[in-house]
Amino acid sequence: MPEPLLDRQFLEKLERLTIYWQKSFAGLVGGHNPSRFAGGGQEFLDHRNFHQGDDLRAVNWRAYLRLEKLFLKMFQIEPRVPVQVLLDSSASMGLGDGVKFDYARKLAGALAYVGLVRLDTLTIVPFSARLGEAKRCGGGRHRFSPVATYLERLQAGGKTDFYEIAKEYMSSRPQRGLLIIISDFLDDQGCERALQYLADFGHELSLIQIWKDDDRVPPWAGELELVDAESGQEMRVEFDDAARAEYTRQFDEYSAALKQLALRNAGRYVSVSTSRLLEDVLFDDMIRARGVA
Amino acid sequence: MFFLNLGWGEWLIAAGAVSAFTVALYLLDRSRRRQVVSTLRFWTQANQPVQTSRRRMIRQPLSLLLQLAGILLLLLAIAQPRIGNPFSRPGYDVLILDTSAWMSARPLGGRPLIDTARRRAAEWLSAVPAGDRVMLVRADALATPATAFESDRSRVRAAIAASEPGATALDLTGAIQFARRAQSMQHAGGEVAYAGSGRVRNTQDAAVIDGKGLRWINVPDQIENVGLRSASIARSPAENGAWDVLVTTRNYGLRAHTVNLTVGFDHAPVGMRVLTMAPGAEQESAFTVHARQAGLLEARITPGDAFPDDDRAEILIPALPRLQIVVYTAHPEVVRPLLTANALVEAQFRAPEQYKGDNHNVDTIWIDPPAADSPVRVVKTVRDPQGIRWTPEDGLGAGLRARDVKLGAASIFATNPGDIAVASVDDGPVIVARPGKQKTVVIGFDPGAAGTRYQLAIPLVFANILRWINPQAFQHSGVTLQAAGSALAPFPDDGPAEVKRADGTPVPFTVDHHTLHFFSGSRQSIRVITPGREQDYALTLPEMWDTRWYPPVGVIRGLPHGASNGSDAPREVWPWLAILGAACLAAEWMLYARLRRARLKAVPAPVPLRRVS
Repeated sequence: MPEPLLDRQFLEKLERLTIYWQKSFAGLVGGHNPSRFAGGGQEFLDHRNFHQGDDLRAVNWRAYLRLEKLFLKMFQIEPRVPVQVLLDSSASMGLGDGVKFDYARKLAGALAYVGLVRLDTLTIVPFSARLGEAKRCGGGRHRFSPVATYLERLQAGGKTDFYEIAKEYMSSRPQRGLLIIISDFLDDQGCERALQYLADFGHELSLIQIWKDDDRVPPWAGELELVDAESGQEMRVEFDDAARAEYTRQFDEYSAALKQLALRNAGRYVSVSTSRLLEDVLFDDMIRARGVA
Repeated sequence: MFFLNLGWGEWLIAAGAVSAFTVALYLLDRSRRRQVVSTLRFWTQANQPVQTSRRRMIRQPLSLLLQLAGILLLLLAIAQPRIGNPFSRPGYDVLILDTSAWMSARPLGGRPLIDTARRRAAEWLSAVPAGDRVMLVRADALATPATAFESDRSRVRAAIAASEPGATALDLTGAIQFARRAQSMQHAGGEVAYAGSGRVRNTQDAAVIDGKGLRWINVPDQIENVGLRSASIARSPAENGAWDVLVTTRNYGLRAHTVNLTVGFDHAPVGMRVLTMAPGAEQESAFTVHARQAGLLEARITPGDAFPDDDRAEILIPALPRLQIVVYTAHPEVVRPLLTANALVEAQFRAPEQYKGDNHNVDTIWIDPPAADSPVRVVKTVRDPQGIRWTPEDGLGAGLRARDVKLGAASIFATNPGDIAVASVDDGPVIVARPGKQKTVVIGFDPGAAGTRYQLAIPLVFANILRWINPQAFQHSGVTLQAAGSALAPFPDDGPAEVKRADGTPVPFTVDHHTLHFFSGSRQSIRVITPGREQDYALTLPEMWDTRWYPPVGVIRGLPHGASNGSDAPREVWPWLAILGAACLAAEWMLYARLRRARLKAVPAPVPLRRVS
């Protein structure tokens, strides 16, 4: 019997978490986050003058009888923010023993379960060169089983192109919301510009960078013939301790740039090594980064 | 220097092949490696493209040199090089250490002779050339190799230290012949050194010992000793319930001695003799011990001397067997003299009518029973029966051939299956033996009648009946106490023989001229069972020497003087080469392999980033 994506004990621990976001998104109702926007909620917010076309059901008739002027009651909405998880399923994620992709799937599953418990609506969208078939879920924890099955069936492959993905995503899904991107962000072309577009479009970005120790500190030495897992491009290098240190420095700089991009756009960034326990990441790194609360 | 295992050519070929293999592995290990990575982004920034000309460059040349040196040194060690003259072959020496029983003797106020022998043997070992190989042989009645031909002196020293006196006398001739055979198998010369006092068994043929290449390391033993040599115990034929004890003592010293020989049974004194013995004299002393029950017989010589092992001996005397029977007869006075003449038989005479009220747990003999009370059914009673004949079955009719016995009147019995008709007339059986848990013999006539009273067959019939009822009671038995080693037992008749230890394990034996030969190398009891005879041999006395060995001409005496310490013998250098080779490989591993791994394991922690918004 194959091992389940996430075991029951771990899922029970996740039930005390909540996916957190900061922004208020217009036109959305429901959910549990308070909003500055008025709407058809339960909590009274303010009065304003009636204008033609307003809903007569919201007119304060008591005030009209007393003042003979039409005032409209405004209520604070409780938005149901769409949470979208973009899951990188490119070849670089499945490199070697596929540990990065497994880790990313488990993380996506854990976040989906947290959202389901809080009655959020989530959409998981795998991507590599193009957006894959999305999985929408909501309605409570009992809907988690199809999500887990969906994630277990995902396969890694293809080349990442963040720019194309961003364009396709913005054109196909105009609704703004919380956008959680789980990826190694190792696109040869760079992904900073594409991520900035998504932030400018109005999404609240939550970037989760998954990396193996080999990605950050390559263990090899000597003369290497390197092959890009996604593009197949080859390169020969002479790799020594100095080059290794320079490589690690470059990697850390790139991660720092991603973090700065996320924070600059009022988003979040979490760097996750696959050598760490998923539980530690969720209950430590993610809470500290205010990705969950 | 020369190689023991490989020639120069062989070594060069092996070294060349191994070096080439090592260099190839080295280059292969450091050659270009294909690696699939997630992105080339950081590699491009961190590295300069490699130059093809550097591919075959040897990086870390010291690593390669250390590996090559280590492997070549190990290969040299395998070749087992030696420094010295290759034509000086090592000697193969045999050290015969006397471990006979006599070596446990203690000179007055001193330590046992074996201590001196061990010390002198160790001194000889230190003087042997270093290149020689030495075998240690422990010699008593048997020559037992304690080591193979060893170049490691510590093993031989340990074997010398572990040698202890045995229970038998020295067979020096056999030990020297064994040593020479071992040397001849090595096809090399060497010395045979004997460390001991030279007290040997009488059966030795000292003339066959060749003094060439033989060294005697004498262990002085001017010791006066008087000891027990043997003791035998047998049932007294003259007196019922008595044992005849014959103790033999010997003076092994050079002076006359007067000693007390005391014999006791179960801690009660039985007798004492004062013996004055001339040097080399042997004396026998007879005692009679009255004992029906089993007990411990002790023979002791006082005062004690330097060899106490043969001053005291103990023998377990078995209980005398008894045959209990009940004789039912109306005329007991007829057979009473016959049955009470034998001390082993304990007969009760009862009237036939008492049979029904008796507790039947003993063997019974019925004589002329009434038809109503007979245990074997009486068919009829006949007068002047004719044609008496004897059935030689189970020994009951052994030796009975008389046909002129006039029975007068006799009861004819009806036998059951399994019954033995010992004697029959024309009308049927008149003597019937019935086997079973309680044996029963029924005699159908009166042996005291006029026709049978003077017949020789009648006492013979009774003798056969008693022997049939309990054969063990009439078995010849005895106990012999003697020294360990070879033992002889009389074996007068052909038949099955059994020789076994106290725990029942068999002992090998041979039979030669009605004598059974067996051997025991240690002190133990051995039982010899032959037809009609059972004899216990308590081989618990130490086997003493009979004579002193005087070395023939040509035997070197004492320890070697000014012995070489092996300066001319080739010296082994392979251990040093092996250590050096291992050190080279360990250094290479420490300097390169381990540090390389350590560097790779030391992953720097990600740089903490400052929050900018």
